Amino acid sequence: MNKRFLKQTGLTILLLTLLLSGCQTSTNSPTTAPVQDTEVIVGETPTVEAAAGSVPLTIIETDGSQTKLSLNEIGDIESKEFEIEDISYVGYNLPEIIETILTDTSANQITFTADDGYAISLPLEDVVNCSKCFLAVDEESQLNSIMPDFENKAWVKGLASLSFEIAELPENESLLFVDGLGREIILDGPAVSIVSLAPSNTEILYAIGAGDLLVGRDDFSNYPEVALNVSSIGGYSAYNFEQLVSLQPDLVLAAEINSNEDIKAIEDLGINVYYISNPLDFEGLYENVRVVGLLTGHSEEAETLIEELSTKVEQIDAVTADISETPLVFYEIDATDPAKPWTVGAGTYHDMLISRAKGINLGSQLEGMYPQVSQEELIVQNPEIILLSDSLWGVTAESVSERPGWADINAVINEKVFPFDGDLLDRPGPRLIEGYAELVRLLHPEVADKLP
Amino acid sequence: MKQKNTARHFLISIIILILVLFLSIAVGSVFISPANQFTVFLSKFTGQPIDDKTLQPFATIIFSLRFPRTILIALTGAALAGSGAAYQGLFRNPLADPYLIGVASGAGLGAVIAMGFKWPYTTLGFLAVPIAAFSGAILTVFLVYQLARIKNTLPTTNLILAGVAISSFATSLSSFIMLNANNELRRAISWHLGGSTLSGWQPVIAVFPYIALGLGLILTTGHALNVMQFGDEQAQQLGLNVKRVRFIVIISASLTTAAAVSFSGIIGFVGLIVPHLVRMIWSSDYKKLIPLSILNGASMLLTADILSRVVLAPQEVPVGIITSLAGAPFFLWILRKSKNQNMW
Repeated sequence: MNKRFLKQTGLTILLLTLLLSGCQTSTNSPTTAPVQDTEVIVGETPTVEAAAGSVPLTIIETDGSQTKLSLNEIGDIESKEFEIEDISYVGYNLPEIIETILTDTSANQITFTADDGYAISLPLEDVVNCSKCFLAVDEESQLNSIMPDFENKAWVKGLASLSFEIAELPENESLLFVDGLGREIILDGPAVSIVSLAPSNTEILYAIGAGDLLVGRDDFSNYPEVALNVSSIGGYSAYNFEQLVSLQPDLVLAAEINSNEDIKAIEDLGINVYYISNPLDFEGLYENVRVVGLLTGHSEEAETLIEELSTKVEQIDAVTADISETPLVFYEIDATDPAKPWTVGAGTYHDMLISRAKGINLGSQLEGMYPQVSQEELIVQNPEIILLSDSLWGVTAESVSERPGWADINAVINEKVFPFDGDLLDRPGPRLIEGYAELVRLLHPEVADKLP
Repeated sequence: MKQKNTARHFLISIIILILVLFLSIAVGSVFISPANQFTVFLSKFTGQPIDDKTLQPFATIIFSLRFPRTILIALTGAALAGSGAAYQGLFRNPLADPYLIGVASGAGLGAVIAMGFKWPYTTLGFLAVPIAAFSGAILTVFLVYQLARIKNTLPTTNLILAGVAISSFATSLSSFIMLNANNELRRAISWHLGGSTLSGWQPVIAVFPYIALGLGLILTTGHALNVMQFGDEQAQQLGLNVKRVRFIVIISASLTTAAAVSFSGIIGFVGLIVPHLVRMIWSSDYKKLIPLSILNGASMLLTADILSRVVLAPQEVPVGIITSLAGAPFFLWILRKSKNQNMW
């Protein structure tokens, strides 16, 4: 029984493999056909050939020498019938023509001139590499350039002459950058399709007018609101790389919230990634804005934005310079357990800007960037102002006053418990300045009207 | 008759595995039509570049993302189920899973510690978390082994108890570290639920030797585990070197599991349930149970991974959630329908 079963299985497997290999070979043949796009079908030469070949064309070489000839006089080239986008043409393959007639190999530009004087110049290399480009003749015995994959301007009707030149090419536009991780990134030009992996990057992009370049974002990029229309590829540590690849961006903007592994993974997929490190101060922020401007070709708008922001900062600094009293501020991130709320410590933008706004951050005395403080300590410290970053989740001044033991805190007694948009300070973007202004407004309401 | 059945069991397992492997490469959050997939594969094998530039992203997706991920997940599933089966045989306990003596919590602790540092953008930097996870796992098992030993003997009960104690300790330590981490909390949680933190072929190359070695060793212990089912004393009297078998099983299972966990995080349920499923549907003979568990463990985890990519596309659900959510009802269904009750 055992042997028979094995024989049966063996035979089935053999049959299957034969079938599959049979399928393989039959599907193999089409792919070994000529490597041209399906649009171009090469067929037999029809009787129109005589007409096509006999249309005269002037050839001007780089040294200025002119020759007038008919295409069928040129050596080994044959006239062919071809089809582009369902229209049939008869003509000669352009790269073949150029190869035969060009004498000066240092030529880098070719100009097509029509009999009505219209002329267009194209880089010679591009034309020579265009296997689908033809010079065709139509019913009126006119010579036309058929240039698929080139802009419409390159399609010339009534071609009279082809001239070759050595032109001065514009300088190579490739840009070299070194990002926050010390990685080198080379772009062929300003990026035109960008995926942003951090809300701060998204905000910077929109602020310098490059928001329309965004083709993908992360889940948390929600400002400005129009960013929500861009498709999201996930949140940190859970990006959908398949979707990222299908978006085909030419640049991914990463930030410090992205892990090295994610950046390496994207790099391995052959996509450019630029890592923007968190700025340490406003100067750092301006640098980041400048870099994003360079990356996107929006340098002017970037400089304008930097100018705006630094002026605003100066103005706010001028207002705070005269302030002498520094209230104790408690910045609440989370108080789901009101006996042990979370706050911000030294090393955060919140702490830095609270100090700049002439306030003292209660959390700075504690260890770590996001420490937990005990309620007892809070009562002893007795902050004068409480900022509710968790107001986003429904925490109000009223709910704070209802917490057991909190009613004795100065801030609650004097009704100085304010909701605060944490996004302004959480994200190292242009809105940091707005956050700074808001802090001054809340900490020192008496100078609020002097603020820009 | 028995031989015919065995061959059939293996054939079915292999066919399922091959089917799931293909499905895993074909399916993902981005839809690629079968025709395009065929073109992409063909161009890869014949070495010719793809004509149609629009297919380039598909090629990237299939070869740089799906293919290595499929292999990694298959290896992980095989590793977990294989070691799960070995542990169940060694400890004679239906609740034994690959994480019994501390591999998971040790790996978690190592990973969480490593995630707290900012590593440089170098190959070593990328491998920091997996290496830390691996070391944590091995060190924990070593600690448990030493603690459970009484001079020259290693009572199984001691092993389990020491494993449980050390696991709790390591888990609470890593929870504490996670609480005090500044930014990496989400990443640590995501890692714990299971999910590749490194894509591409690097993880596959890194884990393959350990998993291959570990599973190879486990496969040789089939007969020994059968004999061990009679009890340690009986097995010793029957001529089996119990101490050596125990040592081999623990070392190989820990190595395999640690390697699997270091890149894929802690994926539960597979190591526990697949051996039981195989036992219920097919056989409790460890000579067959272990290889069948290996094959079907790979299939099961691949299926869970496919679901995780498709269910909430474009978002990906961590594999560990899917294995429990989908695996538990399936297991209960098999349990109700099984004719091989009371095999313990």
